[in-house]
Amino acid sequence: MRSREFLGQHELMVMLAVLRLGREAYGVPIAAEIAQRTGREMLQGSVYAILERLESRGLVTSRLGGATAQRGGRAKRYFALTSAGIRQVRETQRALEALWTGPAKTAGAKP
Amino acid sequence: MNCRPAPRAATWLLERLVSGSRFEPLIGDLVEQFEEGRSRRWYWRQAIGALAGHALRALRTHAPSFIGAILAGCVLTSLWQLGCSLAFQSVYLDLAQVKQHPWTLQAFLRLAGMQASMASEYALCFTSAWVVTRVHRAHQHAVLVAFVATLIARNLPTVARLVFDGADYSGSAVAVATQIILTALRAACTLVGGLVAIRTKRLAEMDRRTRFVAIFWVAQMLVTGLLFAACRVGELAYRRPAGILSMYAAGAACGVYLALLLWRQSSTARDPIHLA
Repeated sequence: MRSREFLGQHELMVMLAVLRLGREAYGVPIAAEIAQRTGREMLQGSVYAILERLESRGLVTSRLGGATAQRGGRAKRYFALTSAGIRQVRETQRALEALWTGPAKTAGAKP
Repeated sequence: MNCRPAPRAATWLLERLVSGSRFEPLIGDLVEQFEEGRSRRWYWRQAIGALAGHALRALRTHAPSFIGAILAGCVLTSLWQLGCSLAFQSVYLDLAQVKQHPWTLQAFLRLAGMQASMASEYALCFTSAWVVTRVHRAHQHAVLVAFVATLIARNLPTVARLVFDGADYSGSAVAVATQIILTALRAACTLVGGLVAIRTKRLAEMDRRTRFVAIFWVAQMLVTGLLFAACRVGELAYRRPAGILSMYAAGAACGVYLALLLWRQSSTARDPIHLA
């Protein structure tokens, strides 16, 4: 079923944030990017839960960075989109744009 | 910038309640943001949110095997206890007659039977804990704690009945104390058995303190069991049950302490993160 392959709202937001941040995409900037761009503050745990789900679907990969004293000696986990992930984001964007054009675009407009 | 360290209890909860080291980068993120000026309240909200989310996801994914493991443990316990009560019921019959002739072969056989009965109780604790932690491998610590809680809950009606019937006879306090102490002892045995099963470790591989506590506990339980059986079969009068009870209570406390030592070792030696 192709419909199951579309991303949910939160998944799309997290993936776009990872895409925007590039090589610096780990938990803190991902959540900050979403908060800054959308005004919606996500729990850090939710960001990780979504990223783990995306990773299990092969849309995201991760690697461990070095541990720093500022983080209590704990490593950062950097995320990046796979080619399948990028394809999925584009497909979702196309689907949303297709739905948005025409009558739907004018329906929500103020008189 | 925060000068104070991040809330230790919240970090401890994240580290201990989640199997594996999946939360390490998350804790690092929280500590980093706390250092940059976030409040303690923010830290706690993030930690509780992460734990609640993890628990819900785990429940959705693992609930069938989690419940199955506890049910398997309960069924095994019930069947084992039924078998033991049938096998050893003759050992406890007509003890008053045996007491009159304590130095006979029959008395020694009864003594041996009681020891075997107690050994089977301890074996049951270890076996049931092993089964439970093998049926549900995803969250072995959590399923073990849930199973022990179930075992304790199963005994609560008996304790409540003894408390409410207490006015009827004078020995009720002793009966209630006996029930509570034996329940605690079984719970401690099951916890120890489960923790040994989770992280199969030989005695020689344990640290000195744990090894000492383990040996002391086994020896103490053997002596207590032997003394208890001797009181019931032999010439030793069973007039001061508080003495035996306090020995069992010490055994339960020692078992709980051993369980804590084993828990600490098994939770600090978790596997590192494996990333794709």
